[in-house]
Amino acid sequence: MSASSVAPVAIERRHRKVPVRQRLFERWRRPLFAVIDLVVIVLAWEFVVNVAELVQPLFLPPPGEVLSAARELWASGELLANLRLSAQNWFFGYVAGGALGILLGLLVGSIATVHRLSMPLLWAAWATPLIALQPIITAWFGFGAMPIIVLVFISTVVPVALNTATGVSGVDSSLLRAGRVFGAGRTELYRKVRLPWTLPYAIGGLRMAIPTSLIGLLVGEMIGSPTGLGAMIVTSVARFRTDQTIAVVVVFVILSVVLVSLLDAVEQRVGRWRNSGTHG
Amino acid sequence: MPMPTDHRPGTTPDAEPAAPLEPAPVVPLISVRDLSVEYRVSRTNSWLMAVADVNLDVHEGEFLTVLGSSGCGKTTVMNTIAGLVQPTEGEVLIDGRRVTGPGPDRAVVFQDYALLPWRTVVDNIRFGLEMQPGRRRADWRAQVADAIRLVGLDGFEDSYPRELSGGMQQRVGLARALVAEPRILLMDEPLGAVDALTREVMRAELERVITATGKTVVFITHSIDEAIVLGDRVAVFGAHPGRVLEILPVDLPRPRSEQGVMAQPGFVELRDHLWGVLQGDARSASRGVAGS
Amino acid sequence: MAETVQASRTRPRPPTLSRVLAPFTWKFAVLAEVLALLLIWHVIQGMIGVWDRRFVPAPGDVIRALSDLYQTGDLMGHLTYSASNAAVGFVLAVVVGVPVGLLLGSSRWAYDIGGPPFWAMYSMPRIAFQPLLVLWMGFGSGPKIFIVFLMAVFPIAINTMDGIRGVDRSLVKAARVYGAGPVDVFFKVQLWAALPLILTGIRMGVARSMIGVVIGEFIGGSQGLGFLIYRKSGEFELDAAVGVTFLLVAIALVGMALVNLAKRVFASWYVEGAPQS
Repeated sequence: MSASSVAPVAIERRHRKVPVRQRLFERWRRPLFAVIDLVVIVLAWEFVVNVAELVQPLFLPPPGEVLSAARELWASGELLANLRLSAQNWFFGYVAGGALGILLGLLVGSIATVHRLSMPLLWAAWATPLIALQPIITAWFGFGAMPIIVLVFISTVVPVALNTATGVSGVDSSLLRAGRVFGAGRTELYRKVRLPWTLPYAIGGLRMAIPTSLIGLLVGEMIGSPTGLGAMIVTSVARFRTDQTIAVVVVFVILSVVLVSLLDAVEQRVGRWRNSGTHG
Repeated sequence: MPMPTDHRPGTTPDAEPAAPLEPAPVVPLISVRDLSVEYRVSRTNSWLMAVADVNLDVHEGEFLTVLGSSGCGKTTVMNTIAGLVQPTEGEVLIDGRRVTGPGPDRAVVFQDYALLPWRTVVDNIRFGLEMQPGRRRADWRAQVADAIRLVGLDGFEDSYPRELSGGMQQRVGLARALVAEPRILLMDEPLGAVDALTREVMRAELERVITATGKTVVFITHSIDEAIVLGDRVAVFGAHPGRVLEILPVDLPRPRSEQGVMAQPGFVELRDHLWGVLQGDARSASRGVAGS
Repeated sequence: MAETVQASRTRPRPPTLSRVLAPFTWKFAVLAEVLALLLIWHVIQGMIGVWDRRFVPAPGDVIRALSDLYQTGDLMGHLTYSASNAAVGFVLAVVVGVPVGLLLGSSRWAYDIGGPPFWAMYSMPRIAFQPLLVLWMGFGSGPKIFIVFLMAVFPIAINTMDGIRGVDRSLVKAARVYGAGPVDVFFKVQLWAALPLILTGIRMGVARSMIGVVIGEFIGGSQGLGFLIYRKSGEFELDAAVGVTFLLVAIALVGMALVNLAKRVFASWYVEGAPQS
């Protein structure tokens, strides 16, 4: 109703009546299918393990057991304690990496020669498995929180710097010219044209860094650490408590989805002026 | 299924046939009857009336230009004739037979050229032949070569579309259409994306090539000059929803794309008239929106 | 007068060395930069010895360690193990990812039904499953191949999906006008038009599959380059660990360069408009 009132009168007069059922279906088909998917998958999971007994519960615990394992981990405080540790490590590494990444990106993107010389290296770093450094970092920093933070840090720096540099160096040159015409000096040009232009790119880099930094966190915790969510995953498998494993994985998934959608929302807001032109 | 062929005088603005045609009822090659088309707008989940109650006849060998502002639904009418869009109401008849899909009797030249970027000029032109099962492969080469010569693409046979200017790309689009040997040529603002100078040149070329082939043409444009220069008749379209405002014949001698033709009194008179019709529609449309 | 000007303009300029090399100038500069960095490292560490050599090996140490590894025959064994796992997992990812992407990208029904689990799987940190994979599939090649597959399949499928969706609709319209049916439209238009993005996805898949190789061998591994890094670091033979890490990087870059080459051969008509990936 509200959507059609925006349209010019002449068109509205011509609107054909769509059956209510069809209109409802068209609007809700996506969420509907998602819910059906979820129900089918959980039922199939339950069926395979509990009814048909095709898989031993040891390997794949039924949904109910996962739920009770999660409740148990929460009640004992084990989950919360490890979650807090993981969050801390991730936060330090991510914030430091994001800050340095933006600075590095601005530096690389603003100076043409530096840009030409360092972009290939940044691209190479982005393309390579940085987590392979984990054992070496552990050898350098010992066991504990430090190697985890460092791994998160380097997994963040590279995408943030790469995206920021792409943004700064790609400023529309006619905008810079326009700025100069209106009397903007060097610093003003930077503050009023280059930085606003770059902001969505930097946010985009931070968004790209969420999955990579979480991979860094997981690898750090799964291999070199007795604490944190990653360590819980490894130890619970070793103790054949797969119900706990899956519970922790689910918590981790929720965590990463929340972070990603948070950054997505920020990116949408900050980059509004970029997106507006695409539909029309 | 035999269809009634009478004009039903009084229901359409073009009830009086164009002057050079015989007054006796002739089966029009293209006949658009009471055509309405609606689209579903997925963003708002509502239906949009693009075209309403359009009636249009085009006779064999005629060059009809369809004039209207952008977004007035004239492309939709053309897509319906091409068989790319199904009518919501009404129908399109070719030679008295109802259109249900694309066919070899019709070819389209697109505004954005729509050339396959991974094919060279020759291979792009050949595309229409490839798709028609009845064609003999042995003849392809000669047919493509003829088309290339006709549109003036000699020397660019092995270029890729991206290496060509807009005007040259549209020559490829025209050659691709001609080589398919359709009875009807549908052209959707073929010069819309071409720069102004090239546009003048191409307009003259089009008049030359198409009058030479004697094809039936439906030509969509938003340029009043172009509509007059090229058309035997001009159909003026109004917007929101798209509908025929007026159809009028152009009785100017050909070739018209020469210098001086545009300064003739008949030309100027027509241009003023068409301009007035379009202005009137635009003004009433904007008043309608403001009043809501 | 005018004639001579024209003539000199059309005559091709004689190629000089600098003009031939011009397009490569920056590539040479980057190469020189890398060599310079290595040299500085070598001077600081190899000659002056600022840090403990065991913790921060000099370039010379790294090369020596690598050649030692090679001469004992260790390196090639680990290399072939990693490479064959990676190759199998990656090929599997292409074989599955491209059709899945084509299906999700071209059918609304397939997307509405298959989309939610697809995106759910995509948004998961898939490496978290590695311990479970080991439990399910044992300590052999199975979980290593499977994690490579899991890492590589998503970028391939997503780019394929974007590619098939991004096909210029007027190209499809044009093809239909000239009589192409759904099969012709798919094979002669859509697949070709999507090819550049499919190859971009495959290139990203190469990079991601290296992460899979490393994780697969870090957790529950006893062979391969990733395992070698892990073991050598544990034994504080950091020169060897750093060397093998560089080897992994080199393999990833070579793999991506190969895909780029394929892109240049099979999609030479494609001009990169907006920055990709």
